[in-house]
Formats: sequence, C-alpha cells, structure tokens
Amino acid sequence: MITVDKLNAGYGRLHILFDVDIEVREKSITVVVGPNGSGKSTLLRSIFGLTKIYSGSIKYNGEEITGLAPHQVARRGVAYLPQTDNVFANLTVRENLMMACYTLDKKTSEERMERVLDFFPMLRGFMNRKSGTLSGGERQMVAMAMALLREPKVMMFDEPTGNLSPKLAMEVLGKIRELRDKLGITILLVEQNAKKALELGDHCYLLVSGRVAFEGHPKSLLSHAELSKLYLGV
Amino acid sequence: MVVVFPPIVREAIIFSSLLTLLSTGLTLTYMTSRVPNFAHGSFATIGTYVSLVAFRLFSLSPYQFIPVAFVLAGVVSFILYKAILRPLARKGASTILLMIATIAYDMLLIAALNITADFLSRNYKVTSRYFSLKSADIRIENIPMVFYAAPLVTAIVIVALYLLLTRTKFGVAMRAAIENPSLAGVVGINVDLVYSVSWFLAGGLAGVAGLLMALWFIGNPDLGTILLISIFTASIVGGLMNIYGAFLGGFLVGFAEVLGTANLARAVGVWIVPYRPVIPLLILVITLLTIPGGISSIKFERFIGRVRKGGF
Ligand SMILES: Nc1ncnc2c1ncn2[C@@H]1O[C@H](COP(=O)(O)OP(=O)(O)OP(=O)(O)O)[C@@H](O)[C@H]1O
Ligand SMILES: [Mg+2]
Repeated sequence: MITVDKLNAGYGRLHILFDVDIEVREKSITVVVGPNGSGKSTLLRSIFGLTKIYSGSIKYNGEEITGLAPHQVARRGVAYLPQTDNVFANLTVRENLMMACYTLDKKTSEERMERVLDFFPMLRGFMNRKSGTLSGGERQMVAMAMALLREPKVMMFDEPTGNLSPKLAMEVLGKIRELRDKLGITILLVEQNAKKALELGDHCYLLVSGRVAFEGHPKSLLSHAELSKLYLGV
Repeated sequence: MVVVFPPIVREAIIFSSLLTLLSTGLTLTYMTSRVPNFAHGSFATIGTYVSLVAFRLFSLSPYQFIPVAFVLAGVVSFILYKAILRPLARKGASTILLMIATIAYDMLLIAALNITADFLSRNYKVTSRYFSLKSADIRIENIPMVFYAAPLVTAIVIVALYLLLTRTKFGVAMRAAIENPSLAGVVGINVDLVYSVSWFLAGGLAGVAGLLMALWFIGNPDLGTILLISIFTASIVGGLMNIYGAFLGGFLVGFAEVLGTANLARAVGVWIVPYRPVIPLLILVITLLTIPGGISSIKFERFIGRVRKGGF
C-alpha cells in the first residue's frame, strides 16, 4: 500500500536516511523499531512530505506521492500521529478535534466525534480547555483522537503510547490491533515499547543509523539473539 | 447631544483608525509567514491612487471604489507572497533574505506608482502628486464623512476578523496553520491556501486604508513608505504575533503621533512638524527596550494580582 524505495532524506544538508526500502502491506501492521535518533520519525515525516528528499520514491497504492504537500497526502487517506507537537497548543481541545475533521462535512464530523469521545471519555471534561494546558498524557489522548477521527485507509503512529500510563498504553495498542482487525486499516507503527509492538506486528523493520538493519517477521527479530540484545533490550 | 471634537482629535481618530487597519494586516502576514513585509505601506498607496482615479477620472465618490482598492491591493499582496516569497522560502531562504525581497518588491511598486502618477498628469491633466481629495468627501453636518467612515470600517474589520478566527472552520484553520504548519498539513489543511488568503486580506485592508487616507491626508507615491515606520511601530507595540495587539498598537501610536506633533508644534514652533516620524521611532525604541514582546505579552493577570496583594 505504501512502498518506499531507495529513499534518501534529511533536513537541509543533514542526511538522515540512507537507501531505505520499506513496504507497508494492506490491512497489516508494520512495525519500525530502532534506537533513539536512528531516523524512525524522519521516515514517517518523509512519507508526509515534511522533510527534504534527495532521491528515491514513495508510492501510495502505486501512485507516486514523493514531493506532494502534506495536505495532499492527508486527503488521499493517510493519517499521521506525530511524536511531538502533535496538538495545536493554542487551540481548545474542541477546536483541535474540529481541525482533525477539517476535510469532513458537519454531520460526519459530529458522528465521529461522539465515537472517539466514547473511546476517550476523559476528553469530554476538557473540551473547552486550551490543549497547551493539558498534561502530557492528556495531550497524547487528544492527538490520538485526532488521528482516529480521520478514519483513514492508512495510519502512521509515531510512539502513540508515549506519556501514557501503562494501562492506557495497553488499551491504545489494543485499539491499534482492533483498527486492523475490525476496520481493515493499514498501520505503520513506530514504538519504543519494542516487545509489545512486535507482538502486535505482522512485519517489522529495524532501523539503525538511518539504514534498514533487519527486515522480516517480528518473531524472527525477537529470536535474533544479537540484534534483539543490542537494540531492543529484550 | 452632539459631541464636537476639536479638529486635532478628529485627525487623530482618522489617522489611528487607518493605521490600525494597516498594522492589523502587517501583523497577519507576519504571523503566517514570519516575514516583515516592507512593501505593506505601498499597498496603501495603491488605494490612495484608486481614490484619485475614482474622483478625477470617473467623477465618482471614492467610497464607491472601496471594493476596487481592496481587490487591487489584495492581488498585489498575494502576488508578492505567491510569486516571490513562497518560492524563495521553499528554496530555504532565510527571513533576512525574504525581508530584502519585500524591499525590492516595494521599490517596484513605488516605481509603478510614480509611473501611474506621471501617466495621470500627462494624459488627464490631473494633479497626481501632493494632491488633496478633501473636496471629494461627502459632508455630514459640515463634518467630512471620513471622520465616521474610518473608525466604522476599522470596527467592522476587527469584529469580522474576530468572528472569522474564532467562529469559522477556515478561521480556526488559519490559527492552526499559524501555530503549527506541519501539523495543519497533516490534518488536511491546505496551508498554502491559508497563507495566500492572509496575504490577500492584509493587502486588501491596506488598500482600503489608503483609499480612505486620500480623503484627509496629502496623497503622493511615497505616502505608504513614509507611513511604514508608524505601521511597524504599531504592530511591534502590539506584539507582532497578536492581531488584537496590532489594533491597540494602531490607536496608541496614531494618537501619540498626531497629538504629540500638534502639541510640540505649539510648544517649540512649527519647524518641528517634519520630524513627526521621530515619535513612532521613539515609541518603537522604548517598546523594544522595555517590553520587546509588545502589549500582548504583558501578563495582566499577574500585574493585577500584585496590585491586589499590595506588594509591588
Ligand atoms: N528538524 C530537524 N532538523 C535537523 N535534524 C533533525 C531534525 N529532526 C530530527 N533531526 C535529527 O535526525 C536524526 C533522526 O531523528 P529522528 O527523530 O528521526 O529519530 P528517531 O528514530 O525518531 O528517534 P527517537 O526514538 O528518539 O524518537 C537525529 O539525529 C536528529 O537529531
Ligand atoms: Mg522519533
């Protein structure tokens, strides 16, 4: 569904990703793990047109999307939960959710809003608060809700459980599994909690210093004694 | 009861209202693209010449040409963004470089305005430099209409902007794109469109301000350039990142400039009048030294709290 081919990307002259090949298959969960600073977030940003791409191509359903503006990628049905700055701090929670529904009509937005608020009932109490005044975890919930509201074909999550309590983190990972199983959404997941994420995944990549160091089934990465000891801490 | 304002207060009200329209636009474009736009003053001059053309060539009231001034100056502003600033920014140009690009664009505009002025005087025998259009204004009970029109237009614009930014989806998207353009793109907002609209609006408002200005002040191709100091001061006093701040700044600077100059002239002599721009410059310096974030950065809650506690 998303095919990244020989991607070289970075920020300005700072080259971060080197010849990265990634294949995200339809209705599956693809997990990307790797040490801090290895380029996981940069990979997701590149798919969304938020980095400088030097060479290589990114295809979505066979269509070339390299160099498209972010809103054009979004409108093709890709949602993305960034790792940081993932809510509009100066807007209220309600306005944030409203922005997540930017491309939807009023009726659809209201229906989806109800559904998402049922999943995160805590948010109901915050609707008129500025997102910048929320706690880290509360903010993460708003960001997650914003991604879910879009009901896309593909969802990219950059550490969706960051800042969440262990209980809520498990719920969120469960929800991600549900998205695949019940709604048939294709998922690209970056997760620090490698073991939990790999248990969930259908396919995985290990990114080290901007290069793909391993590709295959999560089980085989977990059973790879050297790699899992070096990079996964399991 | 009719309140009669002394002429100098009347002038201060007209000037401050129009300055507010200008600083609000400057702040809007600064907030969206973080470029201090040095061509903003000349957008107003375009409106001034629309006024002249309306009255001298078409024998119509300049008020009827408000939409023309709005669209014309809006388009000129939009072109600056779309054809120059955005392509440069995409190539990684720094703020300084973009700012210099706006200065270059301003030079082009001033040249075009001079050409227009020459064209009007040669072909239509119209006084097109240092002209006054006071006679073009409608009088209500012997008070020129611009005295009512300027504050009214400003009030309407401020209320409309407020409603746009808080009550409409597009307006909230504008605020979203100002705060975090990447995330705005991620949720499907066309950030470039939002910025284009901001530039168009800012230019349009400047055009309207310039058109109304022609009914009271002396028009000339460099009118806007001279105003630039006051516009920037008003925006910076307001905090540069807050539209309502620009509104306050416009009134503060406008009143200080008009009343200050008049009082100084009375006290030390009329020779001081040409030094009028020193007043906004002084306000600018004092603001940058004492509250660099502008009025909108002051934490009034904390101030009131301290006063209540009695300890300062
Ligand atoms: N906006 C930026 N400008 C310049 N360099 C950046 C920028 N963002 C990230 N980098 C650099 O790019 C490299 C990869 O960063 P990236 O955020 O992709 O890592 P990551 O794998 O997501 O790490 P983490 O697990 O800590 O989130 C890092 O060395 C980082 O310092
Ligand atoms: Mg990251």
